[in-house]
Amino acid sequence: MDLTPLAAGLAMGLGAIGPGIGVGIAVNGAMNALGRNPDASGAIFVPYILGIALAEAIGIYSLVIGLLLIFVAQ
Amino acid sequence: MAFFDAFGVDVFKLGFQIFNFLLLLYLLNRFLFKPVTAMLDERRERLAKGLEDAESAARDRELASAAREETLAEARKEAQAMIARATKLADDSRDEIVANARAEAEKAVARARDEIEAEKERAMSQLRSHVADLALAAAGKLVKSEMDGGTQRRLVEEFLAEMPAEVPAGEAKS
Amino acid sequence: MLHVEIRAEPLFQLGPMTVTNSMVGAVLASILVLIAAFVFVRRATLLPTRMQSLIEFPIEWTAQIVEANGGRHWRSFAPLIVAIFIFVLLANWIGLLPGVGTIGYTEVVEGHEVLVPFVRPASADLNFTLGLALVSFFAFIGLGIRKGGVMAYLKHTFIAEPAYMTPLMTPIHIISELSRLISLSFRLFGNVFAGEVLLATMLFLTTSVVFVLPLAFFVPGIFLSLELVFGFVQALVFAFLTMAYIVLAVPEHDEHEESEEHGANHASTRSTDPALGAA
Repeated sequence: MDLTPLAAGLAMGLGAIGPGIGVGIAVNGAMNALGRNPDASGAIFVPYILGIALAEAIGIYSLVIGLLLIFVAQ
Repeated sequence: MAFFDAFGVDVFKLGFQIFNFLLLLYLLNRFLFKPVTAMLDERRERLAKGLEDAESAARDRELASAAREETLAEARKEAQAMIARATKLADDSRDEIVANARAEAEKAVARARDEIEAEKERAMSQLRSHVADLALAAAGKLVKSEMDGGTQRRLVEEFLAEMPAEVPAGEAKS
Repeated sequence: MLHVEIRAEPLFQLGPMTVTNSMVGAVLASILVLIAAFVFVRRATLLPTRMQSLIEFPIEWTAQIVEANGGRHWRSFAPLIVAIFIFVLLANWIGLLPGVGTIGYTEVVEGHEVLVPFVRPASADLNFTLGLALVSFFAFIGLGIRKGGVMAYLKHTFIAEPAYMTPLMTPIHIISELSRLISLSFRLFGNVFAGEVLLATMLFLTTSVVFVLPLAFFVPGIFLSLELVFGFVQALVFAFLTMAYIVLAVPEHDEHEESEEHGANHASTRSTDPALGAA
């Protein structure tokens, strides 16, 4: 029985947990900051986008692993 | 590099993509960014200049209005001074005229009085001679031939000479 | 059956080089960028029209952010950041145009027919994203060396702050620099490729598996608009991460610290003066 699709699915699904939490925390922080000081939206924007990108990169790694499992490991 | 092969990466394709992007970057830099940067700078400059112009215009206007205000105040002061001077001049000349007129009037009055005096004098002397004649005639009628004309005349003249020279006005009139 | 191809498919052979459909996408994106640039430059006036504002807006907006975050040397790399942003944005959005990914020729692979589209969004090909990441990688290393000198750059990068930590920190530094390359390229590729797969899946599910017309119309539409946002955000992320790496690599901390120290010294002498006078 070929478990590769299961492995790929698990890699993507489990790998999405961490980035999901991380992005949530980042957005939470940004929204708090924005609520406290709405004028700072310009200053918050770039670090916010970069932080989300860094958190999301980990999810992308798991996507790559999943893709590798499906397309290469066979 | 089986890892990259799996994603279809090879040197040619990678090189093509890099070349494509660098060419695009060069063309954009050449034809877009330089003009755009220049234009944005110019726009910013113009905006700044416009603001500055407006500011300087406002400043000029303020200065001009201050100058106008000052000129106005000066003019007002001058006018005030002129009016004061004119008033003073007019007062002075009025005083002078009045004084002149008064002096003139006084002079006229004095002259009139002199004339009156002279007239009175003349009238007095005439009256005196008339009175003497009258008195002579009356006395002649009264005493008739008792006296000759020469003696009587001498007597009357003496009497008249004893009378005070200045006759009061009321007496003279009556 | 849903077919997902992770490699860019070859269309035809041009000399030694195989022309793939993602190359077509990349060329198409650059042509669109250039057309927009030419239209913009020819019609450029100081008082922007609506069309001009539309083209000018991303340039000016990105340039403003680069100016605000880019530090002292922002003018030297602002064109790169803006070009990356616009190019990646168009490369992402090309995949959302109708016909891209659906018009092509059919090919028989392993017994069943497979559609090979003529145009594939360039950023759904690792060649494209890896190429851009390499450009960005060499840009931040090159700018770091050019602004600070080779020795300063090497010292800045490879010698840890307490010198005895160097053997431990240097491999970590090297790996982190290389991981930037990997994360930059795979982030963009993964997002756009996953977006393409997502769109294809949704279309497949709503048309081939269960066909309900409103569903087949609206569900891919929702995901299309999501992909519009993601394409924008990923272009932004790629451009700003490049900027952040460049800012990290270009040394400008020295002068800052120095001036801050000077300021602190001034402040301290000023504050102690009255105390001395009182004493």
